[in-house]
Amino acid sequence: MENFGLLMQGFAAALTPMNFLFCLLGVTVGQFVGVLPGLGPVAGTAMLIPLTYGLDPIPSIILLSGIFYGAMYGGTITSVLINVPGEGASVITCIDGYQMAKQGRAGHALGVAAIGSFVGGIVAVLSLTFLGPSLAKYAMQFGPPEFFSLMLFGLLLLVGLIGKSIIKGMIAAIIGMLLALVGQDPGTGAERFLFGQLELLGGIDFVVLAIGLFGLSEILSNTEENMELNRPEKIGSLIPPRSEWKASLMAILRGTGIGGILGLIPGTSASIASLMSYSLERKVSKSPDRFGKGAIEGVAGPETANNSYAGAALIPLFTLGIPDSPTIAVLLGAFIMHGLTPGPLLYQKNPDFIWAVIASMFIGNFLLLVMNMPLAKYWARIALIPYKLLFPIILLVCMVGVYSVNMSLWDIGLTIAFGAIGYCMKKWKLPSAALILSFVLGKKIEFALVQTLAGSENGILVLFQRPVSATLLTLCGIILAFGLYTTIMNKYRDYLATDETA
Amino acid sequence: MVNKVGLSGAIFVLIVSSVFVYSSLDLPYASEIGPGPGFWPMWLSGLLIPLSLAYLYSAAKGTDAAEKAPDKKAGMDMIFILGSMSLYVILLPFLGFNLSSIFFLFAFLRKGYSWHKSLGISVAVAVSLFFLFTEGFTTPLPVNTWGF
Repeated sequence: MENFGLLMQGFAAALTPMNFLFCLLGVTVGQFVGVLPGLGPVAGTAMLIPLTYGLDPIPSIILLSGIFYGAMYGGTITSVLINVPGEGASVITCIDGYQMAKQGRAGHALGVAAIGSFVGGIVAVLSLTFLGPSLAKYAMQFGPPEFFSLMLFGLLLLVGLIGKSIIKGMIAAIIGMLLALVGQDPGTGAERFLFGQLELLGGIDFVVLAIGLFGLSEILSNTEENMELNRPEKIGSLIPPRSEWKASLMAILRGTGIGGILGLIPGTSASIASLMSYSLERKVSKSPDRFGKGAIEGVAGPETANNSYAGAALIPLFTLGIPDSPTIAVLLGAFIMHGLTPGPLLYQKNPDFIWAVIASMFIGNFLLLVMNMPLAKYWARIALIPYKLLFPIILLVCMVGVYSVNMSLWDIGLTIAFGAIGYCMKKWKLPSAALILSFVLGKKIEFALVQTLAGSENGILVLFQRPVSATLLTLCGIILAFGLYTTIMNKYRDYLATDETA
Repeated sequence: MVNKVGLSGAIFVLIVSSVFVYSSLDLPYASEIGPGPGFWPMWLSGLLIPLSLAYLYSAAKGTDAAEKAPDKKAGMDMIFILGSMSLYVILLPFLGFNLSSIFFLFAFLRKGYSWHKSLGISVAVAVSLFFLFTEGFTTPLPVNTWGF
C-alpha cells in the first residue's frame, strides 16, 4: 500500500506540464528511432544523451527511458508494413507481420502488436513498482564483496550469452574495463593510461564511447546494406476478428511472462525475448504450419515479449545498479551523468525521482498505445524518409551532441576513432555490447574490489567467506567453464567441417 | 586458411593488451590502503594477453568467425564518411559551426540531390541546429571571425 501511495505522488510529479512534455517527447523520439531502419534504441538513446545535459534529472531520465521503450513499439510498424525491422527486437515480427500485411490484414497485426506491447509494458512497470522496492531493500544488506561478485556475475552472464565465443566476449569486456580506468585513480589520484594526452585526465566520456561504438559504427555498417525501402502496405481495420481474440490474448499473456522473466536476467536482450516467444507460440500452437504465413500469435507474442522485457530490464538497474543490456547501460551512463547512483539506495535517497520516472512509464505506454493504434499509417510514412537525406543529418547531430558535452573538439575526434573501432569490432565479431557494459561498470567494479580488499584481513578469500558472494562467484566459475567448453566445441566443429571440405 | 580480417582483429587486440600491460607496469601495485592504482589494471591487462594470443591462434588457424572485408564501394563510402568528419573537426574552429556544417552536409547531400536542394537543406539544418543548441540548450558552439 505504501508503494501505491508513492506511485500516486510519482504521477503527480510526472503529470506536471514540463515532465509530461518530456515524456511525450521521449516516446515520440523513441517511436521515431524504432521506425527508422538503421538506427536502433542503443544508438538513439546514446545520441540524445547530450541534449539532456541542461535538464534536471527527472525530465532527463523520463525522456531517455521513453526513447528506450518507445523504440520497441516503433520497430513493429516498419516490420509489418514494409518488411524492414526498425530495431533488432522486431526482426521476428517481420515473419508473420508482413505476411498478414500482404493478405490485407496489416491493421490486425498492428492492432494486436500495439495492444500486446501496451499490456507487456504495463505489467512490467507494475512489477517494477511492486517488486523493485522489496528487491532494493534486500540488496541494502549487500556490502562491497557482494556488489563486486554481483557485477562480475552480470558481466560474465552477458559475455557468456552473446556471441559464439566467450574468449571474444571476455576480450571486449576487459578492454571496456581498461578504458573505464583511463584518467585518475579515484583512491590515490594517480594518473592512469593518459598516453601523453591531458584531455584524457578526466577519463573517456561515456557519451563519446557510446555514440562512436553504436551510433557512428551503425552508420558505417549501413554503407554495406541496401537502405532503399518498399512502399508500405495498406493498413485497414486495427481490431482483429473475434475468432482471433483468444489466440491473441493467450500469446500476449505468454509473451508478457517471457519478457518479464528475461528482463531480470543480465545478458539477455529484447531480441532473445521475441525469439523465445515466437518459438513458444509455434510449439503450443495446434497448427504450427500457419506460422510464417500470417499467424496472429506470431506477432502478438513477440511484440508483447519485447515490450515486457524493456520494462522488466529496468528492475535490475533501479534496484541493484546493474545494467543487463547495452541500452540499459546507456541509461545507467545517463543516471551517473546526472549525479544519480542507481542501486538500492536510489529508492531511499531519491524517491521523488524514482517514482516520477516509474509513473511516467505508465503514461508513456498509454501515449504509445494512442500513437500506434490510430496514427500507425503516419508513422509508416516517416520510415520512408530517404536514408541518403537522413544519415548526414544524424552524423552532424552526433558530432554537435558530443561537442556539447565538454565543448571539446578532441571528443569528436575520439568519437570518430571509436566509430571506426566499433565498425571493425562488428567485422571481427567482438561484441561491443560487452565493451560498453563493462565500461559503465568498470570503475564500480574496481571500487568494490578495492573496498573489499582494503577492509579484509584474508585478502581475496573474503569474497568466498560471504554466502551471497561465494554463490555468485561459483556461478561465475560455472558460466566461464561452460562458455569455454562451448567455444572450444564450436571451434572443433568448425575445424572438422573445414577439414572435410578440404 | 588464414582469416585475414580475423587476423587483423587479433593483432589489434594483442597490440592493445601489450600497450596496457606496459603502461600498467609504471603504476604502483599497492598503496597504504591496500591495492594501488596499478593493481586492477595489471590483472586485467595481464589476463588480456593470453586471451589475445588464443584469438591470434584461432585466426591464424582459420577457425575464426570474422566477417569478410567490405567491398570496394562500401569501403570508399566509409572512408568518405570518416574523412569528412575528420575534416569537419579540423575546419570547425576556423570556419565556425554554420559554415562547416553547411559544407559537411552539402558534401553528402549533393550525391543524391540537385545542388540547390542540397544547399537549401544544408543551410536549413545547420542554422536550425545552431539555434537549437545556442538558444534552446544555451550551449555555445564555435563561431568564425564574423560571429557565425
